[in-house]
Amino acid sequence: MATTTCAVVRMYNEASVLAPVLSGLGRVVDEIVCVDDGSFDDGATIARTSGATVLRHVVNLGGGAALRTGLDYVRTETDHEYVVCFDADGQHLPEDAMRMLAVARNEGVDVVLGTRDRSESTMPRSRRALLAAARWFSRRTSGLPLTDTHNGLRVFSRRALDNIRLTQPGMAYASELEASIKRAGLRWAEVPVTIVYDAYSLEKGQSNLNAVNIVYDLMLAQLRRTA
Amino acid sequence: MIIRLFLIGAVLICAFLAMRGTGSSHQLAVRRMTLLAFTGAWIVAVLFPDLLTRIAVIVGVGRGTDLLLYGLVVSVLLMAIGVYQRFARLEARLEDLIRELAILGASRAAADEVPPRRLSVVSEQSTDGSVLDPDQRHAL
Repeated sequence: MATTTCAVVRMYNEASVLAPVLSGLGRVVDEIVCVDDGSFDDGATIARTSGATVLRHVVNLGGGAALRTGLDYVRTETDHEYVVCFDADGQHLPEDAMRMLAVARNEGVDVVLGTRDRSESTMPRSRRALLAAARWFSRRTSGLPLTDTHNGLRVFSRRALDNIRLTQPGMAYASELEASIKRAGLRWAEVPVTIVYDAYSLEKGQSNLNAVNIVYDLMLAQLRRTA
Repeated sequence: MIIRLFLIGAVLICAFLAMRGTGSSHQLAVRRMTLLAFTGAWIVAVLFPDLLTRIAVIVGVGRGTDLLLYGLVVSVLLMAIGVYQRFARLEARLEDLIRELAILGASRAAADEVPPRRLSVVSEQSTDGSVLDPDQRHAL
């Protein structure tokens, strides 16, 4: 097994902010795998020009599916030791990714999860309340004491990749992730990270209303598990 | 008498159309048997309406038509569930297919230095290229 690292960057029409994100990230990992989830801008071309590997969904499948595609590719077609899940819209900081990779290496952890719990307050108040509710729900269902269940910034080791099975469509992959961690006995750690809430990402990001869909998916997943 | 001809004829046509089904062979057989049973029961009920009323009284429902209504509600619910399941399965298979394409496209593009092809996709876009229901997956 190699000792290299890679990043999976999902994107949907992020061409306008993509280039600086990729160049910043490129200093932290050895390969960037971009998953273009059916965009109709030229983000895929920008990504390829910058040297990233581009996987393209011909139609939009959603964030969970894009993540699965990226992780599948890394697992089956590459040899990297660690993979970072990183957002394309500038919400994530490469420095955080670097720190999380260091934690994974130095502490021998399989899964590193970014958490906003201890970071400062660029987060809208309503969002903070919503996250608290999600945390409560997650604790009651999965039993893992996670403090930020819907943070897209994550690091997986190869062992984690081999043991994680994501099958649920939609946003319920977060709860499936927790279940996989628990089931496979993966070692995990949380690292405080900063999510940048600027005008661009807030406008494009999930509306609080979409939380209804997420909760619904999570409950459905929970039902399926207990059925 | 005319109404009986109409009712029986209509259900025979529906049964015929529904017979040409899709899905796993096991499910298909079950569905076809159910369909035949339903068609038979319907024809009997149309020819002997008093029978329906008598059965209704036996099982504790007021009128024959009420029994029919309850049966209809249950049938519709079962059908809807079947449709939903087939739909979900279809979407899952579609996703698998698209993922396979994406992964294959990556190695092909790397080998030939060919940029990823944009197929002219009709399903997701409106004619002016505006976004239809983008599914954002950024941090909540």
